[in-house]
Amino acid sequence: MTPPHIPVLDVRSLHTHIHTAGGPLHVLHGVSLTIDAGECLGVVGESGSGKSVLARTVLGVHGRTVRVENTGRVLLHGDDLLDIDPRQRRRRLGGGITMVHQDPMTSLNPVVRVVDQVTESLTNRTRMGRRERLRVATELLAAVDVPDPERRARAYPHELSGGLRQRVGIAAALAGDPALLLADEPTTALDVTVQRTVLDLMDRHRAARGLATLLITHDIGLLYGRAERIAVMYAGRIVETGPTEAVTGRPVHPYTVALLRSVPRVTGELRRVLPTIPGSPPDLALPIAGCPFAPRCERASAVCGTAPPPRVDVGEGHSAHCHHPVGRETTSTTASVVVPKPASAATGTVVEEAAP
Amino acid sequence: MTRTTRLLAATAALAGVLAGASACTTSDDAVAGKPPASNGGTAKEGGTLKVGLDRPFGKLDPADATLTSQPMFLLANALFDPLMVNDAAGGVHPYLAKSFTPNADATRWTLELTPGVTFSNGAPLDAQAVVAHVTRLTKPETKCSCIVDAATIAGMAAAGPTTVRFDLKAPNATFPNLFTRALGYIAAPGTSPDAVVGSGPFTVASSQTGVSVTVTKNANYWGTKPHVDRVEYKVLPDTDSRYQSLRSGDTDLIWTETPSQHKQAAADGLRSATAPAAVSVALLNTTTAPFDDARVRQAMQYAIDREALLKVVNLGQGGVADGPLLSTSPYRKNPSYPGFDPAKAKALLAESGKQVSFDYLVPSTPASQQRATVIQQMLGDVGIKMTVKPADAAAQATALGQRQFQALDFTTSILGDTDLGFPSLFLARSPFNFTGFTTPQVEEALNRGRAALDAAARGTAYDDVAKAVVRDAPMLFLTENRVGYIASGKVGGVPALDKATVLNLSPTGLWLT
Amino acid sequence: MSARLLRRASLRVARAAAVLFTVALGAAALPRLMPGSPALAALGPGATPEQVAAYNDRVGMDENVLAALWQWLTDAVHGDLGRSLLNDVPVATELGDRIPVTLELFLTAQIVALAVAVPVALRSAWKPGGVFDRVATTGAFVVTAAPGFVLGLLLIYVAAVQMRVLPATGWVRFTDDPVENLRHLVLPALTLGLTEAAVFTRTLRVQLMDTLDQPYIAAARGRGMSTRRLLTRRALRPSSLPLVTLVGLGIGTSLGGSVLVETLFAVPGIGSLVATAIAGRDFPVLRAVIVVSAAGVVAATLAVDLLYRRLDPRIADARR
Repeated sequence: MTPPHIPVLDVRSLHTHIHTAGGPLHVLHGVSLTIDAGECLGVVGESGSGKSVLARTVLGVHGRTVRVENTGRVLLHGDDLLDIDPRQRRRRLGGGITMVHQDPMTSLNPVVRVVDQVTESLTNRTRMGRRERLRVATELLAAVDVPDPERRARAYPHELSGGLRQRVGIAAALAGDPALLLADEPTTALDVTVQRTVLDLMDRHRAARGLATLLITHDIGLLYGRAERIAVMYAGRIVETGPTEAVTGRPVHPYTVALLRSVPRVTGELRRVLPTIPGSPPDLALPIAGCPFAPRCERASAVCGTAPPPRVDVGEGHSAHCHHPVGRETTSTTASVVVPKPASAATGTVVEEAAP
Repeated sequence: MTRTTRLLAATAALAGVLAGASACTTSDDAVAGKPPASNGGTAKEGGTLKVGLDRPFGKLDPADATLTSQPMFLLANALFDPLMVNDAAGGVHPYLAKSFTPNADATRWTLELTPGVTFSNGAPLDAQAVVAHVTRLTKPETKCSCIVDAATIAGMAAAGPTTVRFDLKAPNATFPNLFTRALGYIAAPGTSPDAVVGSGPFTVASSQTGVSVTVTKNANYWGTKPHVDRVEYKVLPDTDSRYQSLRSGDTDLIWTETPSQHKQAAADGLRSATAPAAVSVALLNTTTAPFDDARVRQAMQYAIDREALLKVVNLGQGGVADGPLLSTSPYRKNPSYPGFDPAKAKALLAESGKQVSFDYLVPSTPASQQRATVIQQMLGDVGIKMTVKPADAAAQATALGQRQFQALDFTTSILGDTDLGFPSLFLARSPFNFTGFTTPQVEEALNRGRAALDAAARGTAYDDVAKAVVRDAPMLFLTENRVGYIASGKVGGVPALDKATVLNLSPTGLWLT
Repeated sequence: MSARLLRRASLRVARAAAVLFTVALGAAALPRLMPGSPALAALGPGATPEQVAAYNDRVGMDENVLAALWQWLTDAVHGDLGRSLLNDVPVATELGDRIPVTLELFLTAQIVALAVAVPVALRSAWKPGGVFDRVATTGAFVVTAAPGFVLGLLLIYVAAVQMRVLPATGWVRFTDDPVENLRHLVLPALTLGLTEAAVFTRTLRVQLMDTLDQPYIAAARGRGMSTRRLLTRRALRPSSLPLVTLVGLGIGTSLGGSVLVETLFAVPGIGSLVATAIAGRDFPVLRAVIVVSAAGVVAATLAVDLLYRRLDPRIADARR
């Protein structure tokens, strides 16, 4: 008999409110997801969808002056992070969970040498002498393919290129041998040519260490061939989730469809006008009665504005929340929307969208 | 303006004026070394007396004007002895001198010294030493304003080991008064070219110029030995911290001119010994507009309420000033001074037909500024526009010396010794006649007084001068201010000074309980 | 690289020399520039014309400014800075006596200021708007708003008059009696230090708040760094540049001495010397103090520059 399977990360009905001067913002609505060891879950959505907040809530480190209220559970190896005292929580940082940040320019302290920053996950727990730090840092940098790692370790961040800095960020995140890695748009600020190498690097380490990874991006194209499963977020809710092929090949939620449609293609017919999704994300300060996507949805009907959409299961862990899921239409307006599969999933040669 | 400049501003300007021509008086008992009747019980020997000076001293040499200004006498008397001292009766009598006698018409004076007096280095303080001292001080290179006083000397010579004869250019019945200040504090050249030595009860043990000086008992002192072994003088320029220093016990004795502190002293367990030894006047430049018109000047007299000034600025201490003959002067008869009468002031102004406005230069002491503000208001009430202009010490000295002012707030102790003060302030050619006021009658009266060996005759002459001054108002007499010493309870032998005309205290008579 | 370093260093020296020369020129012209007659200021308004003439000669009122400057410079090289007009003491001696006093006072005050400002700013910036921050900010405001001598007198009243544990005024040299020296140092250093601390705290707090919002601070926290380590080892250094400037400037300007504190506490430093010298128009003293002060500012600026490069390595490389 197999032992009960405990996922590395298990988020259950997470609701997060952020207190602002204008009142509380309900930024996460009942988010639930799981990630197993060695698995990569891609979270995709527009800016404002709540994906970064999700990462920060799981990590437990918000902006300094941000006041946050959470309900629900965030279980790391079965322990509820929201329920333990701050000191305990901090202990898990670096060793249990780490994060790779978006902007390598600003996520490294400019006046501290690389060696000291990359080993922080370790030095925060145990004292390390200068020589030992340098040795460990060199190893860590070598592991992320930084050439001439010892010299780079002694350098200051501004002496490195963007790509190298992000590798340093990854090395710093991996230093404590964590179980869960949160990657918040780790390649958005990088050149296209560098993006792939960095993502490949992360994949390699994930496989080698059995890391559970949460990969957050606004570019769904990045997730092909990297994430086993995808969760699509809109207005603080997960609107569709499932295995990557299923979600991208047979999308069920209209938002997912629209998102996939707006990804520029290298192959196929040349389109002069990029399809966009008309309208803008809803104001999180206002309560939303029905489906948050209704105002912008081609398939919306009256019920969408009043009743919260039900969960629709398509099979194999693929599900969405929608009144009018694609492929199960009750209206005639939208025939099955065929989304052409990209030329090569493995290469992921997708021109990067302009950052929103 | 910071407190510092306010207080330090008192130094240069006042020092020069106070030193040269003013006299000093003290309870001569203190100077003579006899313990006075007042406080402390029986004298105890030994200990170190700590004195707080209110301004930095320059060189420890009577040629430096600062040293023989009224607030610094406590230091001067430690190191040097004066030939003459002021007494409570308003005259002067010999101290270091044995006698100082005139001929029939006061054109020749003969000084007899106390025999056997030596300087602290053993050199004899004889006639030669006195001549050398006076000669040195009256060279133009020295900074002593006594140079003006010595101008009256036609010739001097040692006529014996302890006899000096002075021949004067004109009769001067009060010639000895000059020797209560720098001219009379006899010093001799010391070992180094800069230093001088005195014959005083103490000698310098250590000093940092402008900061502090410590003196110890002079074993060879010719007079009454002091009680304390040492005196430490520290320069404490800030009024408030100086007072707090006294309260906290860091200092035993301070000089202060701040009325609130004298008022406060008893409540704080301290002893205040003061006299109305400084008078505040408003000098009016009679050579330029608007004060070249006597009616304007007289209007100002009526416009100012001196009682109100006394209450507000002096906290009721001291008294109103009635004219150049102060309340302590032995020559004072029945002074009358125009009372507060705004209507009369307005009438006089109307008569003169002028729209009066002027700048009032004010030194940077809090009392002066307060006074100026009050006067400004009073003058405004009768239609005179006064602008208060702060002037630091240098600016004030320049304004006075070059007669570049309209009106100036001036506090001085010159008039404490009438015999010295009157010629200084009112003689036409005196460099201290800042107001430019002179009339043939006043000039004649002053010369008459100067030549009169009879005190009564002098008194009449001075009275004539005083009446003229009050009538023509070249200066407005405001208040006689209480100034003097505050001592902690530890100090004994502090004399009662309220009758003194010039406050001249020596550390000799003091002891520590 | 070493040639470039040499060139950069010599450029700096040349600039410093130019600044000092200009200052010395101004100082040499001082008798002409300051209002009022210095002779009357020193001798009193009753001085005779002969005395005034003799004095003006000594002071050099009418001499050629460049000639005076040259004379002064050549004398200065031999250690002769002239003599004080007020008391005839050699200026070099006075400076030699007083500069160490002011330095001791100033350095202690800076230490006090930093010792107060850094922890207070750190704590304030970490929780802005909290109780501690509000109290600290109000305190800093009050200290800055009140005139310096108010704080000083208050300290004297409490420590000297009421508690009688410290002397109210005065100074004892360290070489004469170290214990007494320290006792006399406390109140003036506190007065000066707390006043500076108020300014330092505000400056540092603003910078810290800015730094603490940076992503790299959140990143460090995300790696499990404790708050204390975060503040002292990761937030302080990037925030310290304006503070370093303030301290550096303070060194230079304080050689002119803290006039107010030295006068209040009767501390025989450069500040009280300057106060007397200005009132008495003591030009030799003023000349020397001005040039020495300027030299101090120049030296401090150089030191601050060097410190910048160490604190923020981006600056060193930006110059390439």
